[in-house]
Amino acid sequence: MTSPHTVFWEAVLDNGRVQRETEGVRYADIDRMHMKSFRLISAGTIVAEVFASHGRKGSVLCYRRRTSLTHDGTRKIVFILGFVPLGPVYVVDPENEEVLSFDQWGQDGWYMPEPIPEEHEHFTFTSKGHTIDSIVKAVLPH
Amino acid sequence: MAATVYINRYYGAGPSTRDAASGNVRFSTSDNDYTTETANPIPIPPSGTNYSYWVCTALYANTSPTGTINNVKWYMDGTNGWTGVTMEVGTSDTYTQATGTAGTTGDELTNTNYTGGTLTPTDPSADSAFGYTSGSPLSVTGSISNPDTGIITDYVIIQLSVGTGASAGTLGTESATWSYDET
Repeated sequence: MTSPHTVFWEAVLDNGRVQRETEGVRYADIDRMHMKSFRLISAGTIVAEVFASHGRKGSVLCYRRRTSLTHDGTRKIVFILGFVPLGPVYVVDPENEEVLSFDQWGQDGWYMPEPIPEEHEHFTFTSKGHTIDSIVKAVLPH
Repeated sequence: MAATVYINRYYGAGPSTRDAASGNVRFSTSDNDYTTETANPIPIPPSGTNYSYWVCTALYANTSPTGTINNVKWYMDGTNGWTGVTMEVGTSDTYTQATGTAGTTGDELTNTNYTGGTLTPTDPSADSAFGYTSGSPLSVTGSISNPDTGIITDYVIIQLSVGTGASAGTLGTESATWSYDET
């Protein structure tokens, strides 16, 4: 089991440089033009990683830390990452060591993120679409 | 770093606030911030409906997100475990202190009674709260971006309706969930 509080993102650029959330880089400031992959890290281990497909229209990087907060004090955190609108998009649940992928928002109660200004391409994710040139690697610790 | 976010309950004229996850929100026929207290219970009516005072809640950022918090949702588990008691829900961008007759009934949650702002929907339908589930949540207006802190969303206002078929005593706990995205 991995605590979601120890999970942070990294963007690996095609020149080998790495932009890290832990170094104060904002998600909005990721160099998307030169991003090779985007990954979640916990204690030096890759939790999940998606690889960019440059030049493919409809592949806007999408990352969200989704928190569900209940009145009884329960706090559940999952991570959404992938590319929209064509996909693939994954939900990473570090606590339960699960990676979910889905064909359509609304499936199993997962609703679509709202775009922020930096994700200026309109994203309307309806289908997983063409995933041949994108690979997801999930290495959840056991 | 992720923001520190709370569900706040708002009550009183100020209004005063409390982290609602630090203790239950107990419905009563008063605007007091009860968590375990049993004063001012909602009487079971011989006919018609009695109401709790409505309860205003909202999402609040104590520290700023690195980027943005948006896409806020609110939902229940879809199953009302109470007998003879329903829960209504509405939203508003303005706080209005709950009103009614203490110890007897709250005023019904309607746009007419919610005098401080516009309530959406204007007349929440009976048991509307349990209709919102993780698969079909209530969208709550509001977002916040770095470096801001403070209230993130519109108020989510909930109220119990007690009918003649209710049973006397303390009801079991039902949980409402807030969900939000953060970058």
